[in-house]
Order: sequence, then structure tokens, then C-alpha cells
Amino acid sequence: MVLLVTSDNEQFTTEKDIVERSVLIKNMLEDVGESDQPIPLPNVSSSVLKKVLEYCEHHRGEPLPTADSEQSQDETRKRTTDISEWDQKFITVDQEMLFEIILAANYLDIKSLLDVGCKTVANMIKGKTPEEIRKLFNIVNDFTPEEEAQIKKENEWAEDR
Amino acid sequence: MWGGTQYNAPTTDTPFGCNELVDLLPFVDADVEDFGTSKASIGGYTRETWRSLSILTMRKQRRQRAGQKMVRNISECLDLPLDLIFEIFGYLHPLDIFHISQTTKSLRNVVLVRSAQSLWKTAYKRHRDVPRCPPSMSEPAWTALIFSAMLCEECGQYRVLTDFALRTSLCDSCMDSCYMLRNPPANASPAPYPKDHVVWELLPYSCRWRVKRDSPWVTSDVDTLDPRLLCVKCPVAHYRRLNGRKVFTWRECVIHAMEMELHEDHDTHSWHLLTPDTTAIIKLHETKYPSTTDKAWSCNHCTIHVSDLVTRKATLHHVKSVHSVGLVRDKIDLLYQRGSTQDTPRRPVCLSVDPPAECRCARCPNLGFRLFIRERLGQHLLDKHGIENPVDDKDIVKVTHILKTSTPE
Repeated sequence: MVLLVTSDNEQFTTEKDIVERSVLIKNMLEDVGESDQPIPLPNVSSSVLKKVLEYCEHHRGEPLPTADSEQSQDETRKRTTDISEWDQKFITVDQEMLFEIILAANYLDIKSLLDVGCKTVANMIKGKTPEEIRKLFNIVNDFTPEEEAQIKKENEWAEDR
Repeated sequence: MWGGTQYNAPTTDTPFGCNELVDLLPFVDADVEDFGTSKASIGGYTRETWRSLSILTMRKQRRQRAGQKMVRNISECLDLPLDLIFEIFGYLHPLDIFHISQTTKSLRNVVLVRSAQSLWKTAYKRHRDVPRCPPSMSEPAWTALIFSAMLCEECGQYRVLTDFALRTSLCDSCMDSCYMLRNPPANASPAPYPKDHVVWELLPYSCRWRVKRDSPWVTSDVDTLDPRLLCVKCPVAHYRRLNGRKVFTWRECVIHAMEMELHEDHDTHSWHLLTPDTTAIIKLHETKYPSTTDKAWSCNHCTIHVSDLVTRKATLHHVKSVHSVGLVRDKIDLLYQRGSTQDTPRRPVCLSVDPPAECRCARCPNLGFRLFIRERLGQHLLDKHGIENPVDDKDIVKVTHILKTSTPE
């Protein structure tokens, strides 16, 4: 059993093989060895950790990407933008939670969860016109009409222009 | 007639690297199809689909998202650390990243700095259906080229064709103002070619018609590549103890086509382009055999004659007197500089077709420079190398002659 403490001082008790989906915690446990000391997670709130642990529990036992298989794993990750049905349901959360999950997955180093989060956000951006993307990001077009005509022609690296 | 096709000293390397050929032809994947046709299908897309590639892509993505909840606002996304933003953008289609580059100045700077190249590369890797970016172009420029194919880059007119060799999309009138109609290749023939003449089929699409004002792209570029071709329409003929086809330079192809039109012999034209390997062998055969009176010899012990080639006799004298060599040997003491005598006409060469000469001797140094008919190579291996039962790959190297064939239109 492993004891985790979140940023809002809530304690979570989980099984080792669940929490070890996080490479960060896995490495920590390997370094410290068996211990009753709680592991502090100052960057993760309790509501987010609950979600993250739910994900880890569902995917427990699945092979973790190792250093050897990184290449091929990377390839398959590159190719597919599909998200499994369970993951899709899991990630159907409000915006705030979605980005907190992404940040937590990045911090805890849970590659598969980070992928699910990033793919979900990417799917929201896909197939949109520049104007639709502006609305989505809540940003304002700051190009003058002349600049707008110019950028259509200039599509080189900024350094080369 | 064309004053001898000159080329630099041949080496065992290919006379024109494959990359150069790819650069000559409009598009990495298109060279096979586009060779000799204007109705090319590029990377599986016809010119018509190219026009609306962005619309088709957008439509496909929107269809995939149909039924999903519309997300109105994800402004928090841009508050993420930059590496996570890149992680997310990496899942986007190249077209989406292109669209992001048009939203605001700050986002444009994020995706269009050179350090963002990995982002574009990832997007292309994850979307294999998008034609990949040729190495000579940057990913953003390539994306803009293939996805804004409908709009003229100068005046914004709708539905224009992308010219992949020129790497622009321009409407006809802007094309005329930016590019001028090229003149027929100088000194290839006394008569100018009509616009629909077969000579243009030998050139990439845009080079047939237009050359950018002050562009260095001229027929001499094709001369530099100096490909070798066979006429498919000519019957196999007996020539110099061989049953085969005459090997043409591209300028000879033009003359041949005109002659055949004059005599109403070939109703259509079709050409085999020879592979770099075969071309290299053919070129070796085209040059004159070393002649003692050519001013093409130099000493291999010093650089005295390198820029000032002399006859064999003079070189012999030099080697004996200066380097005091008793027995002078070719290639060790004397060098014959192939291709240095520029006024030597190219010797016509015939490629044996019936029976095909498709073998090279693997036992000769550098595979030799002869092409053998299989039975004759057996004899050669027995006589020269004492091999009675030759084995493929070990003793015999097979050569593919034809790189591609232009289709008659």
C-alpha cells in the first residue's frame, strides 16, 4: 500500500501496482524502498488525483512503456489519434479539470494519460478555420488587413523571412 | 549536329544522382507518373483533388467530430507550459497548424519558429495520408502550398492550379506577369517548336511552358543531367552486330521526334528513360577509346600536366626523364583523362534488346564496363576468370535498364 498526500492535504491510500503507472512515483518508490512515509504531491489537488487514480486503476496491469519499446511505442502513438471508448468517457470532463489532468499526467509522468488528454484537446481544435480557432482560444485577431494578406504568402520560418 | 554532348569525366558513380532527378521532376512521388504527361496524378491525387485538398480535409475532420459535443471555449489551453502546447499541437493535422499560424501574431510566432520544426514533422508523421514535405522545402511552406492550392498567391483568384515544379499557385494572368514563356531550347534544332511539341513532354510540366523571370532554370539544366533514352516506337534493329535500340540524348530525342513526324512514321511518341546505372555504362561507351595522339594524357606522379594535358608521347617522355621510370605503365604512371577532349563527337551506342544485354561481370574490377548477354557472360567468366558454373549475384550482376517510360498522349 502506498500513501499519497495531495496539495490540499488529503490522504489517498492505493495499491502499489496502480500508482506505479506514474513513472515519477514508481521511481520514487524504487529509490526510497518500502516505507510508511506518505508521498507528497504538491502539484496535484485531491479532485484531480481522484480522477488520475481512477484512470490508473482501470489500466492497471497493462504493460508500461519501457525504454526498449519506446521507439515502437512512440511510433504507434504517433500514428493513432483514436481514443478508446473508456478513455473517452473518462476524459469527458469540464475544461478546468481536463487541463488539470493534463498537467498532473505530465507531472506524474503518466504517458498514456497525457496522450489521452492531449488528443482530446487536439480533437477540439481539428478541422476548424482560423476564425473558429480564435473563438475557441478566446483570442483576438491582431493582424491588420495588409498583414493578413501578407501572411498568406509568407509561410517560411520566422528566421528566414 | 549538336556539337558533341560534353560531360565531365565519368566515374563509377551515377552520372546524375537520383536526388537531382527528383529535383528536376515536379514532385517526389510524381516522377513516374509525371514523366511525359501533363495529366499527372500526384501522390495518388489528381490535379482536380489537389485544388480542393483543404476543403476535403476539413470536411473529413468535421465529419469525424459530428455528434460530439461542441466545445465553445478552451482558452486555458494557452496557459499550459509551451512543451505541453506543443504536445497537443503535435496531434493536429498539418492543415490545423497552418490555420493556427493565421490566428494571431503570438501564435504565429509559436508555430513558425525554426525550433517548431519538430512539431510540423510530428504532425506529418502522424498523418501519413498527407503528401510528405520534400526535403528542399520547409514544412510550413509546403503545407501552405498544398492546402491553399485553390487560391492564386498574387491576386487571390479562386480555383487555380498548383504548379509543383514552380512551387506556386498562380492564376493564368499572374503566371504571365510573374513568369515568362520560355523560348525553345537554343541550338537544339534550327526550327522552333510548336507549343504542343513532344520536346516539352521531356521536361517537367512548368519548365515546358514557363520560366521565372531571371530564373536560372534553362534547358542547360537538363543538359547537365544529360539523361539517356530509348525510343519505344522504333523497331528493334540490327546495328553493330547487335539487335537493339539506339540510345538517344534528350536533344536527339527531340530531333528524332521531329523527323518521325516529318516522315509520318510514329503516330505517337513514347520514351524509355534509362536508369542511372545503365546511363553510366552507356556514357563510358560513348567516349572515344584512349588515343595516343589525343591531348588528354597526364603524368600520375606530379601535377605538371593536369591543367595542360599533352599527348601520350610527351607524357611518356616526361615520366621517363623526370621521374626516371623504366617501364611505364598505364594508369600507374600515365593517366588518360576521359572526356577532356571536348571536340570528340559522342559515339552512338546501341543497347542490345533481343537478346537482352542485362548482365555485368561481378568478377571484373568495378563490374567492368561491359553489358553482357547472359550466354556471352558465361563464356567471358570461363575465359577470363576460369569460372565454369557462374552463380547469380556472386559472378553475375543483373542490371535494370529502364527507369520509367513516358506514356504516349
